Amino acid sequence: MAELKKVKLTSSEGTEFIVDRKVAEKSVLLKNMLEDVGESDMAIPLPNVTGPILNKVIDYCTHHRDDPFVNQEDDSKKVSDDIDDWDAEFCKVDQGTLFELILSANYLDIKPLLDLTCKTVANMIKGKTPDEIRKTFNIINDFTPEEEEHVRKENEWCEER
Amino acid sequence: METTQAAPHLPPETLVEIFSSVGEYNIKSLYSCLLVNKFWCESAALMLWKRPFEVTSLRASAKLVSIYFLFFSKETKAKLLNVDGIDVSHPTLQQPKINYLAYLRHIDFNMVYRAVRMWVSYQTLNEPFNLELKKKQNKQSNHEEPDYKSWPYYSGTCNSTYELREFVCGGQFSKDYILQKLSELCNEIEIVSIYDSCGTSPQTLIDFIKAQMRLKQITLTNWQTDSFSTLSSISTQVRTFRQIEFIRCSFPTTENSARFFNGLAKCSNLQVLKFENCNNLNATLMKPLAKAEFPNLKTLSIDNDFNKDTPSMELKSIIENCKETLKEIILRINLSFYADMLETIAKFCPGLLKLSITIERDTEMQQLITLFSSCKEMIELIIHRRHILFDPWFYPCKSLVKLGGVIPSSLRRLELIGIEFDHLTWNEFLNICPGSINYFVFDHHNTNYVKHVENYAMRHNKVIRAKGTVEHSTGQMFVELR
Repeated sequence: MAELKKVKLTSSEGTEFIVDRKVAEKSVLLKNMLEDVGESDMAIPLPNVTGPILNKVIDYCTHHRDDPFVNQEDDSKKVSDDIDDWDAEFCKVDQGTLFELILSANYLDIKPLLDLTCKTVANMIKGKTPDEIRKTFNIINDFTPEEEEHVRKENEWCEER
Repeated sequence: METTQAAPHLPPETLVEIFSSVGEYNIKSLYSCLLVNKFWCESAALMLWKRPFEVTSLRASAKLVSIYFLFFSKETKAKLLNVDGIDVSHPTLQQPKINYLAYLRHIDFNMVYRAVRMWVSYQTLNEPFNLELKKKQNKQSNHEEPDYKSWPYYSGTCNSTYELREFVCGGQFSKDYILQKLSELCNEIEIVSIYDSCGTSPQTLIDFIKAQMRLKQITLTNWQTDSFSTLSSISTQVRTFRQIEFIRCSFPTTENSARFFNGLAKCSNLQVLKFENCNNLNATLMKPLAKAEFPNLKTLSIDNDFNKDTPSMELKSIIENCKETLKEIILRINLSFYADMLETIAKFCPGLLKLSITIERDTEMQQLITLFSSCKEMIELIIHRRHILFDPWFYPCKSLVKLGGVIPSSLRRLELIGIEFDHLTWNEFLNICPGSINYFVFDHHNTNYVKHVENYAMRHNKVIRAKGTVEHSTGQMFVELR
């Protein structure tokens, strides 16, 4: 039974994870790699993903292992605030982890995870002033007052709606 | 602009991904992102300036136009001021900080025009006693100065619009100038929708199409032409076209009409072909399409009445030639002119996912029932009923129950529009049909009908998610389950 085949993955610190091939294939990057390599017991190194993050990613892929593959071009669900309970719980992590998850989803090419994590960050942005956003994400404003005023004026048309 | 990285660092493409989750139309939040820091500014500007004229409010559009004018060349500004007496300079800004126009991807020309008109009316507000200005505006609003409409494509914006991907343009004026200018400035447009030909030369349209290297989708609405050349020469784009739509177009009736669709017939990568309420769409015109091969055609939509020379054989040939690739068929035609059309669909499209048809008689309902002996993967079924004067269809509609018995368990959406049946028939239908349907549309607002759907939901462990009147409908009821 092809479905039960296992795949070995190594995180950036060298920790080994063994997962079902079906779970690993939620990542388009891994799916293509596995198709290219064929049958192999060699571990796939993932130097850009740390152990704890890889653990989270595997949790996500295991929970969603039977979901149908989503069309890359289908953006209809993107803006929706509709995040289901399990996914919402999954995203209740500190900001650092959330951003790491976004980067890993991007690197591993797991579109639904990327959408979910981006939506979560988007929800933290919506309705906030620039200053509130800076505080939320601990960002330093590097505009000079003149520069900021200039950009503000050029985009004043966004203010009323 | 120099940028410094912010903590936490995310690459620009990821920021854009997040901003697109904020929503293109949520410009207030995107505006906040723009002002966070230099790094966020770049990515937020990318989102905001994708389709600015569509996302801004009418009032604010005048401000947008004044920024747009910053990109005009010195010569253009001088010409506007000296020749036309129009001062487009900004009261405080000189040079834009960011090349926003390079981010433009979608332009609906009507929105640009609307914004320019708004800007013009604000000028009057600023100078209420300037009679000269008012006179000029009156003249312009009476369309005596057609050049006004070509403002956005004055030289100066030249270097900035080359990455445009989508262009929409309509209105009661000739589009020759705009299309010519666009042909010079952009050659990577993917989606074009033009409505109201209004004397626009077919040759200009052809030149515009030929100038585009990646044109995938074209929609022509209210386009009238007697010139057969319009579509016979699009053959240069045959590989790129994916979707072609004609809405309320008048096709030529001249002897050349048999060659009109020769170019279209060569578009072998076409995925969607749509005709809606077109004039003179007949067998002669459609002959080239009957011989064409569209190995990738997924959607075929014909919503048309035919007066004479009905293209019955031609339509069937198109379906037959698609060799099972068709997944969606919309046929709003009088099926009685097309003997065994449903049989053809059943035979050549066993993998059909969506079907929307108009039926008149019970015999057509019987054909539909037969269709399901081969189409077993259908997800969506929409049946419109056209009423005829001497109604041979017996009430209540027993065929409906029969249909319920053959519907495949893949079906998710069922719409029955204009079909009358009593609530007991409806109950009987729901009892026999598979439990997979999550969306119903029907004409009856009576609570009994909804009650039966509630029972159906309960039987299949579903709950009602929403119900009400279908928007933009003739009063149909919808019930959504989950």
